[in-house]
Amino acid sequence: MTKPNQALETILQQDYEHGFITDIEADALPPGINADTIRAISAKKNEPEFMLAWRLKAYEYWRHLKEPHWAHLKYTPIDYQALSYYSAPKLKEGPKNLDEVDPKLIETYNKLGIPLKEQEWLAGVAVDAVFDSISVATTFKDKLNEMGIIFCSFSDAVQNHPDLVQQYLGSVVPHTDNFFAALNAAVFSDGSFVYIPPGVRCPMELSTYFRINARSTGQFERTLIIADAGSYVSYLEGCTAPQRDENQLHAAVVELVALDKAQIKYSTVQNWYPGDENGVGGIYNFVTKRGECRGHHSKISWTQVETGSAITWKYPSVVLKGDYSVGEFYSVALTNHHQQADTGTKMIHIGQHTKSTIVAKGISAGFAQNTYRGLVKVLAHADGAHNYTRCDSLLMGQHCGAHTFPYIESKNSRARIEHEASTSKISEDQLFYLAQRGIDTENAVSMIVNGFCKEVMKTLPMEFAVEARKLLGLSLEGSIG
Amino acid sequence: MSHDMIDRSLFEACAVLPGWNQNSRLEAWQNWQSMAMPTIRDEAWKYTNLARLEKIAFVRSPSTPSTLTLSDIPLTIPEDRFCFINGSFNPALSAPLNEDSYLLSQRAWPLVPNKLHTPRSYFERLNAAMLSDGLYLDIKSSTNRPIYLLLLQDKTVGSSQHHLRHRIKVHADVKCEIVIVDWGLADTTDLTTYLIDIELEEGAKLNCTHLKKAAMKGYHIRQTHAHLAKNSDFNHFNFDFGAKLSRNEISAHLNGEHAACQLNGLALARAQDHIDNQTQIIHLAPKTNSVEQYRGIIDDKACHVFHGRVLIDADAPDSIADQQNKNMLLTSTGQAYAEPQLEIYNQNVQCIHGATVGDIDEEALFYLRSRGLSDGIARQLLIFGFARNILESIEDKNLQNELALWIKTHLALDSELILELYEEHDHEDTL
Repeated sequence: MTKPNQALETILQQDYEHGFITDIEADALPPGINADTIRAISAKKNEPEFMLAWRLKAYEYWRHLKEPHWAHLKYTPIDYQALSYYSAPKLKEGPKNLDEVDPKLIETYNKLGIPLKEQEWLAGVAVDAVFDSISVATTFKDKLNEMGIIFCSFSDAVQNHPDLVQQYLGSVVPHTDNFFAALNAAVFSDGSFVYIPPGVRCPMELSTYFRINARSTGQFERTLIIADAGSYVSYLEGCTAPQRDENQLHAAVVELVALDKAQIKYSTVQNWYPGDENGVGGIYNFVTKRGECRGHHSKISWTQVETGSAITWKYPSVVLKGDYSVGEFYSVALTNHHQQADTGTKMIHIGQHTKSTIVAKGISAGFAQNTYRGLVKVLAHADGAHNYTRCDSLLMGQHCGAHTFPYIESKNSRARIEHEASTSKISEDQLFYLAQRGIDTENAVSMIVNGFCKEVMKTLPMEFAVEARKLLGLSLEGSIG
Repeated sequence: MSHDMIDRSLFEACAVLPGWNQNSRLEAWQNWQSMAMPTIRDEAWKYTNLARLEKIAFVRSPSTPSTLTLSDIPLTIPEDRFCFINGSFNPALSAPLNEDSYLLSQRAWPLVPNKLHTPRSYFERLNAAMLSDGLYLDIKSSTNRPIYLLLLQDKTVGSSQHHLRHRIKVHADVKCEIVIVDWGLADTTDLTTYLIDIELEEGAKLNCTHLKKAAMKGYHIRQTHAHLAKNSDFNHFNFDFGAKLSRNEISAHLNGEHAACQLNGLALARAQDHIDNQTQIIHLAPKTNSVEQYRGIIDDKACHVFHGRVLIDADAPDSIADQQNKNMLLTSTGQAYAEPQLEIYNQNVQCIHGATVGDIDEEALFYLRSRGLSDGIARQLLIFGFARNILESIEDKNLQNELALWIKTHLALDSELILELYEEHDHEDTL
């Protein structure tokens, strides 16, 4: 096994493809956090009174919290006073179309292979691009406007639709939810806002590309998606970040609300800088994502492909309140070198005949630690609730770890909960078989891994599936030992 | 922090017993005092609330000898037996046969060399500080007959407490069977802690069955820690018939190559029982093998917690682990919590685990009803079948039959009918 190993080692050592820094003058607050920081952020964004009050309440709560350490993660402590909590690219004027956007910004997207213009008319995807902390360009707005769909930056939503924001903000993830959610509520800079009116099926996949830029800037996104009765939306979130030596904190919050018979499909490809092969640098990713199926027959589906970040702490959850509502979670989490991921989901069955499916695939290579942590909770009135969980882990290398920590809580005898998990490595038989067929180890591993993840990959929208496969190929292969 | 439940005077009172290593006891007492009682905010006690313990002021075990006789014990009296009543060894009811095989050194266990397990947790420390007796079983030659440990609790005044610690050592290539019976003969609100250290030398084999039929109102906390050397084989069966609070912490450390362990358990929780099974299997050497199967039948307002941790160390390649937890939740007032956990630090492993929670399978019920069985009988049959799965893994047929009877009585099943149906089925199988 030595020979193929070396070949794969080379691939494994590949530099982070998307590592570069765009040189744009940023309008940033000095490092540190206190009530004045919050006021400054709110003032810079020209927010109404209720927003400031909410932020201050969250800050006050956060101040008294301790950072949680129950996850299977090890990292150098975060100094919250050393971070800068606001950074917006300086714009000469608000751009009205893509031509007015800073050419350097456009160049950044081009380097990432996400040309906005091309996407606009080729792929038919509307892009609300968040560059650092502020939305710079929003496309397809008019087209969506015609259907009554609101797809804009969070700041715009606060200005133009304060009633909707006030009604739904923090209703799924309250500011008291956890340490990172409280921090986000206090300092969040921007994010996306989506509202789909009753009965409307969003004609295109909505997409936001997040990008962390200026040095030492915590990125605090907040996304709120509301699908009104009978509507449907598919939302894509994708991330790449420049190569950095110091750890950057990312604490995002995503809230989804599905009313009667509404459906939300939320897909993520996360490829932030994972640190180098010695575990130096990389993004700390502490994310709170939760959806609430408020109406009957509603459905929320999370799909994630996690290949980046030095630390991933992320549990996209679904609260199944409405009768007959459905929650889904499909995940591929890949860790290499010294990456650590503690990720999974929570499915809370409250309504009757609610159904949830969890499929989680973890791949661990190098010195990485990959943990699945999930909660399935069935409350006493959730008659006929059903959960199926399958989590598999693939180990590649002598020094990595794969862990499974499911929590199952049932208070209803009419509910059925099934959980199964397995852990194994790529067998030499499989590799040998493929080698016999003239497929080199690199491709063989790629094939096996793609096969391993197929169940999840097929739930991704077309646009993402290609990128996700490419990512897996890049960050996975070569860890066979 | 509340340590009111055990007064210092009780600790002082223990000290007068002869043969104690007073320093280690005092150290344990001080360590225990400095520790807060676990709460539901502690991960290991997430689903088991100890708050109600704080309200009870426990008194000393009664010093007057028990008047129990053999005829008071409601089970077939085994020939080789050690009997403890209310935390004290009772020579009158004991009948150790082969003196060469076992060395009984009651009240002197702290002098036993190579103490395996240092008390760390709250109840281990309490046990070390307060223990009143214990048995050191040193098994040097194989036996055909099972050795019984009868740990009985008789009537006491108020809420008393009993703390026992046993050590079992099985020498190289020795094969033996031990049956431990915890029996609460009177319905008391006693607090009982048992700590059992087990050591298996190279090639040793131990089948250990633990039946717990504690007092319904009792608080019962038991820790079993097994250390396995090369090629040794440890099979543990844990049958818990419930108590107000019954917690079983079982750990197996597979320290030598080819060591194998089997941890099986059945929790029969009804009324307001709370059964908490916490298991740990630590694979520390190559080619080690573990199989775990825990089942729970939960009725009324009862609760079953299963926490199973399987850890495969980086130094344990080619290990195999299989962990299964199944829960039959019969009422919507009952609760089931399952945490089957895998922690794996080596790629050359095969590990699987599974967990389920649900009511009786509707399809199976329909099938039996279509064969002309009444709803009640069909249910009984399926419930017993679910439990029988664990029973079948016991090698000792006599013990298996006795346990089957216990289970049927406990679940109020129509034992004759079920037997008949199963025999018919077994007969068909052989045809």
